[in-house]
Amino acid sequence: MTEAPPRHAAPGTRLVDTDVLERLAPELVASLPPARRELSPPVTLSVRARLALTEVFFRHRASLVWLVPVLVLAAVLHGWNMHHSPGPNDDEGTYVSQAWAFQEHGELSHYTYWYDHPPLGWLLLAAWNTVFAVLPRGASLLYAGRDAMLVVHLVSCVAMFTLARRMHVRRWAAALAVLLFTVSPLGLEWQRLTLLDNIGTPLLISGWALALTPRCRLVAYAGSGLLIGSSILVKETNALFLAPVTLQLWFAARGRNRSYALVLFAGAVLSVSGLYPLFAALKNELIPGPGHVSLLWAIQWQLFSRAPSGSPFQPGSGTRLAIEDWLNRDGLLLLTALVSVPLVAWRRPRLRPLALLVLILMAMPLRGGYLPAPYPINLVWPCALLAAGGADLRRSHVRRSRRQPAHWIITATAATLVTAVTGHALIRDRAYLVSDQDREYRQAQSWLLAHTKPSDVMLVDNTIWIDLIQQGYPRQNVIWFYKFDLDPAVQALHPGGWRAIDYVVESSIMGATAYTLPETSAAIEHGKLIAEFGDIHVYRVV
Amino acid sequence: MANVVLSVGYCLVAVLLFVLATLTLTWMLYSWREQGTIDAELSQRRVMRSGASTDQISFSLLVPARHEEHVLATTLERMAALHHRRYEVIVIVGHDDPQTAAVAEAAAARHPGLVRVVVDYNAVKNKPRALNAALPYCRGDVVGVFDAEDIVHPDLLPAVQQRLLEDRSAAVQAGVQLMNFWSSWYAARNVLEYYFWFRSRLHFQAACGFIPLGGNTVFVRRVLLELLGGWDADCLAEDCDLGVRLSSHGFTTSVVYDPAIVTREETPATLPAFIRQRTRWNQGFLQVLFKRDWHLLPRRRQRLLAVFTLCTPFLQAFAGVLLPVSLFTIACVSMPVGLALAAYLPILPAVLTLAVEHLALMEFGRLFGPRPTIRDHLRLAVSTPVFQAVLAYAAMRAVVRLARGHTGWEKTTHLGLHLEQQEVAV
Repeated sequence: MTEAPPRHAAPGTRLVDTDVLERLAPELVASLPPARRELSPPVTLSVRARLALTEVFFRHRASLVWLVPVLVLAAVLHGWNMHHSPGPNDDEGTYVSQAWAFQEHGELSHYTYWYDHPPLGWLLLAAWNTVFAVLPRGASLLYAGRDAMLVVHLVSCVAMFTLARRMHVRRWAAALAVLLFTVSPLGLEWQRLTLLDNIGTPLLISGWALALTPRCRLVAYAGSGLLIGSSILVKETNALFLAPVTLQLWFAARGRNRSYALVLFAGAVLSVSGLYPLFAALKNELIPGPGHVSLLWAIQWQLFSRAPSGSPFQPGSGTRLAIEDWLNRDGLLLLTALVSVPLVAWRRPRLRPLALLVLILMAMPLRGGYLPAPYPINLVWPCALLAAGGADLRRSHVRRSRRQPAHWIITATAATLVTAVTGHALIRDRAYLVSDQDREYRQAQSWLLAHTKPSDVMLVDNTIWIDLIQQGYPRQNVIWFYKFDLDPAVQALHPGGWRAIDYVVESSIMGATAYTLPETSAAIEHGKLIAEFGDIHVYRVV
Repeated sequence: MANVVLSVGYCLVAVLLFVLATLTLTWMLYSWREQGTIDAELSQRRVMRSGASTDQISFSLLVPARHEEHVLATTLERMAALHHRRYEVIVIVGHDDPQTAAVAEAAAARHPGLVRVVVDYNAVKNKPRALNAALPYCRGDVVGVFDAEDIVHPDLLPAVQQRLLEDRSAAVQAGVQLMNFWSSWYAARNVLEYYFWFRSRLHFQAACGFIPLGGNTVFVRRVLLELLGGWDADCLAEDCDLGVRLSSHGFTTSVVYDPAIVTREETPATLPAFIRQRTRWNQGFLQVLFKRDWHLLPRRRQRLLAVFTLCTPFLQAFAGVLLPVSLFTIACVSMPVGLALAAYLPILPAVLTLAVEHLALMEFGRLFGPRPTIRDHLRLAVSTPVFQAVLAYAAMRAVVRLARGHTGWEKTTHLGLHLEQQEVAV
């Protein structure tokens, strides 16, 4: 005996769509909910997207009123003249070249990848170049990198506003944080450059913001872990930020799904950042051994073998000079942040992990160890956020009514102060909007293209390298000067040593480090100066 | 060329495994996904526990029993003492099973008017035929189904009634929980399976409008049951089939999960019994899949979920076997780094799932007791690959049996292990 078919319904009809119930069991009809109706006409994806977008804008209109003007200022300030100022940085050339190598050849580096940094940063840059490069063909990839940094900065601004709001900072203070971040001359000096720290910044800030999800959503915790893990895959030093974020998560994840939240966060961070050693292990390059590079060796080199920059208390040391430069550019921000640390620690529990982070970041140069030049990138945004958070001290037991003159006096004073500080910063930012810092490089490049042949063997820095390679010069002949002394693969191609070199294009970075590289310095010694563009000297080696 | 095809296939398999593992983890954690859902669940439970019992709805509780003489008496005594005034218990015994019939008759004699016995004279004996035999004798508004070894909580019926009245739903699936996570190496896994299914996954299915019901502690309005023609007499998973038919015809099902009033059951006592149970379920799911009632579901998303849910035992079984195989090939076969990285992807959600299961085991111990020991946690972790292998075997066995046309009912024997635990606790 098989199943009896449902009575009173033709095959293919749903019982709930028929009038069977009304006929047979009318007393039940009132007690059954209506069947789910289909939305008619079917709502298309574009309509739904538009509705969702409108809803988002409407819900956040109060925040957008504060955020949008600051974003416009950020776009103009960071976008105007961004190709030409500040001048090219050799690290930029490195990362752009590595992105190019992945795009064109599927390799992780234009030379042997030796695990100096995890590759996600330039992989993202390669993705940007493939999808969004709006430059005409042949325009420098360095400029495309700077375009990407503008977008990165705007995303960081939005993420920072969100993070500030989730740390219970009021809207005007959150906008102030973004403003301080954007106009800081110290920030502007470094944020335009195509550096890994800049690429990692929006990942870090968004990850931190997600960890403070107000509805305790598990998806947000997992996403936060993914983003923080990705930022570690962009630059391994971002692992430092794990400490304050984990601390914040530990105290903020107070929902009933707390244990699952913590497990998902930790699992996501470990999974993503674990891909790097896994990758090295799969290529058999995890542990040091003969004939191959290794991840562990690179980590050990980064941590222990870098020359220390000297103590900051010793005049003339690298650290001291760097700190003086930072204070020169934006000492006000750094000092305000330092002053805010005790204020915030006392009154604002949600900002305490941030205060701890700023303390750690300010204490680290005091060790006297190696201080990387782009250190301010990771310093400016926490200081801006903390300074604004410190400005937003609430005196909850005193309700200031808007009718009292004291309220307006204080508001006017604060607005004046902010305007003064911003104006002062903008005046100092003016240099970036008008100066042309890469003119020398452009002149050198056009001279080289006019006076050298692709068959000439040349030692160049990474900025000129990518320019020449983009113009079609072969990789065997255009050599990044470091690699001539340090990479066995390159040495195998040119067994004659410095005698095989035809031209050396010496820039300031080459001049500063050539004394450690015997072949390069020998080539320069035996070279005749044939062209000069500011700091750039072109030698013909005889 | 062959290399390219192999690589692409390998990558595809890895991506599919990753997607499967991630979806499983997401749906496992559905009830915990945000604070709002948890708060709503808790407030619902508070309302249910405080609700007065007004006996607006009458229940007919069906208890099919076959060779259950050890456990039936206790179950019937409990069911005679529920906190609800208008209900009846109908025990269905086979005409060839005098011992169980005797126990049932004794209970009926002790509780006249409350407990009745119906004899199933079908030549082929299975659960759906037994239930269909009793259906004409039901007098209540709502028909509930229980197993003969269940420990039913006295406050279950008021909670179900409240949900039926509030949601005006056609059916209610209340929580079932296996209790004895300590008794064998696979018991903890089995217990957690039920925990996640009833606590979390079922709510997701109800929200999507496609819900395969369980065969136990499930309540359906009698009128609808008769309209749908009762249970499918030849289906090995008649509960799943009923749920699919209800969903397909557009009727809503509510889910009630309150740890306080959950129905307690035991895991199958031996591994062969477990395999037989899983084979039966898998075969039943396949039968339901091929019957194509789910075609009536209006939205494509629902139909996809239907196919996915009904194929889940097979997908999970083969995923569980494929994952170690792919790891083995990574270790032993040289392949491009990108491919190896892709093959590692499914491990990440798998490891997260394991961590979540350990957390859930601790939560289970807090809710139901006793606390799991380190040994229980170790067994949970180490049993994973073997458990997956067992599930894969049961899945294959189901396919083979279906292909050969063996649709006989392989019954699970019950020893009442969980009843002893209950007695000790009391």
